[in-house]
Amino acid sequence: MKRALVLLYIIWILPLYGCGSVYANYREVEQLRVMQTMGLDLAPGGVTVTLAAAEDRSGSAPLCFSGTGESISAAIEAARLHSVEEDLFTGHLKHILIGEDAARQSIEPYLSYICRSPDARMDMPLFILRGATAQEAMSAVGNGEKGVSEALQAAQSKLDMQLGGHVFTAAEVLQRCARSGCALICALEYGPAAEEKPAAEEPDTQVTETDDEETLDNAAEESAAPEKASAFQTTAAGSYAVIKDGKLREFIGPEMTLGVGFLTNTVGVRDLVVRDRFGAPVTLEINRGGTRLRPLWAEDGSLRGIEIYADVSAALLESGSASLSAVESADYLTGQLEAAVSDQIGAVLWIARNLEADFLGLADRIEQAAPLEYRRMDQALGPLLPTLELSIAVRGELRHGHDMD
Amino acid sequence: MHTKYPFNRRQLLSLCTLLLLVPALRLLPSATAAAAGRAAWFSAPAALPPLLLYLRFLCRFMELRREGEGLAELTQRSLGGALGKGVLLFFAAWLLLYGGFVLRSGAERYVVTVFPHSSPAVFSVTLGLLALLGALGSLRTLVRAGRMVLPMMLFVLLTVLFFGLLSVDRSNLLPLTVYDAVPTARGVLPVLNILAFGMYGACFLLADAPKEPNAYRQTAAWLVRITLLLTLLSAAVIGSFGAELCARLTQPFFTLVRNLVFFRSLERVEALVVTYWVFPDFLLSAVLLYAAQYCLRLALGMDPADHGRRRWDLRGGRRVIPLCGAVLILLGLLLAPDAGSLRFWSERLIPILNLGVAFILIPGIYIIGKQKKTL
Repeated sequence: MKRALVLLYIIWILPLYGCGSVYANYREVEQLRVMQTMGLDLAPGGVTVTLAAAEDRSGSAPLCFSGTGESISAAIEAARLHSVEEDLFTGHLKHILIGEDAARQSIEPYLSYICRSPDARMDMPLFILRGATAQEAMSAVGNGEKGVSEALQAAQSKLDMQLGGHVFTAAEVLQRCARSGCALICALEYGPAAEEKPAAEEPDTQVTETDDEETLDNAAEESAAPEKASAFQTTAAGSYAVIKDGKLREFIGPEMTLGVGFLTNTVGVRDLVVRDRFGAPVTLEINRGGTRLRPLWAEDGSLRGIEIYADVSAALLESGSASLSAVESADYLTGQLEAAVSDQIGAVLWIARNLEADFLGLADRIEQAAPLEYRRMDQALGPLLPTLELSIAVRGELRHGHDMD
Repeated sequence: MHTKYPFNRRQLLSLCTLLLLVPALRLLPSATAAAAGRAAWFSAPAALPPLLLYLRFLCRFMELRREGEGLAELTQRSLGGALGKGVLLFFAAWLLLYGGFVLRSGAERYVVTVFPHSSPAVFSVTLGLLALLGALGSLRTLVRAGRMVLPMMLFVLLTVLFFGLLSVDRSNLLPLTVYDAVPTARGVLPVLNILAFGMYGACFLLADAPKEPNAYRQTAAWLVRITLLLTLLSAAVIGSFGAELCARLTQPFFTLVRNLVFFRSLERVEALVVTYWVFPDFLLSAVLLYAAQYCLRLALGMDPADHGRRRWDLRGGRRVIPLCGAVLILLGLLLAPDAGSLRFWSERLIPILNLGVAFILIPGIYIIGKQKKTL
């Protein structure tokens, strides 16, 4: 009996060791092509997924595969079918890029996929591509050796610095959407790299050949790097996409991202150009800043308004004027700094009011400041924003960046 | 050390800690977050007073046991005759059902977190066979296995929680106000569900444990430590993802593990961590199978004690063990065929039955026994 049971147990355990018939997920490491970037685009009746691998040790162009299907999983499977040599491994994705059209339609299915997929990590940064599809950008970006994954890594590092180390992850977007129905996602544009690189050599391509024209539309395509080097343009200070009810509603351009930084208390180190009293440009380096909120409550317990107090500290980095030492000049520049910050905060708040969307997380900050009063409110903050009194007060501090007084 | 008995209370509490990890990671903090929102992390401390009261009751009940008696024998003595046998049969059925559910939910965990596209049946049957092997052996082996595995499991859990707590966003946890009192009370139910089972489940194994003094004090200290552990677990996960997102996630703890990067070099360790949970799964299903066959043998008038019989010796009523094992595996295969129905079983059916057994049936047995003066 004992022997029979042991034998039965061994027979049962045997199929678990990689025979593939029972354990459907089995794959050899050597057969895997590790994908690092996933692009998501709208397709008629579904979604197009573009997967890009990382830089190859052989020096050949990073591979890029696309597939279309009714769902993300189906699209990935379609892309997988056209990977001739290796299986596409999506367990180490590092970035997700969503095309503008897809984001305008709805990002909810994509967020749902990230939530449920055992492959995707929820702390992956999300990006929305402004004015293009992810497939287009992922195929175009690169220089023959490096591809979209490296370009996105570089873009993320730049954004990290400019946005105070804060690029919104899938988890944060999901969390904000679940809490207030809206969120911010970093937006990117792509175009020629600032420093034009020489045209890439003819890349090694592994074009999937198919005779069936019908399948071509949905088929995966392996595209090589373009002839001209392209890189993601994050512009001077990046930009943001505003998501409300799961859809892209508005872009916040680079000229207003400083305001977002102040209102979300993620002001990184960045330059701001103002004019001195003679009209000459002066570059200030903002190195510290943030806001405090003071909610104003009506007698009936409803929220009447919000007072926003901003503090900003900047160093004088570059000036064409010779009269730096004059106290009145410093006062004038401080005033200019305060006005610029106030303008940016005001402009972002104007968008929030227009959209009736609390994408800045103001409700959370009001709750932190006055928890009991906030909990008595019977309405979400977003729809209230147009009716609220909003006042902004900025206190600036200007310091010299070197030994000159 | 009481050499006469196969294990003592401390070893039994170690086993209970391990057994609790299975429902704890299934229900916390998604079930508490759905009920209590941001205050979900406070549900475990809030559950402590009713749990201490329940523990007080169980200790008083178990003080009435005689040499070699556990909850099953006390039930039979208290209710007597047909009613006692009927309740023992119900206990056996409930423990087998819960065991089958543990197999099914454990299999789902592996499929959801590490092995997509795989069939849960493979995991259910393998775990069920392991549980059968465990239940055929002595209870002492299971208890001691728990004692040995516990340090490793706690190390894994606390390491994950430590790194998880480093990334906590304070605004996901605070502020709490008086308006959170009602949601917190709702969030107490899943915690009661987890810990009450651990407490009354251990009572089924007491026939092999000595009667030791200070039972309440020692067990209460254990309960406080477990509550602290559950609080840390909830705080780490809710602090990282926020209550709204946690409520949507099926396995938020393992999602947290998937996100962790250790020292900027080690990541994607969720497969390893999920694999560790095979130990609590195995021990819980084996203990449930053991307790179920014990109740069944007692109800059928057989001697449930094994008297040191060897694992493969099926004489003396031990044929009931493989029979119960087959039922357990069958239940693991048939229960909740899809994820939607599994959620219903996990969040509705099993908790209701469990709380019913803990707070209605067992106190009912005590009250009847006292009234009939059979205790």
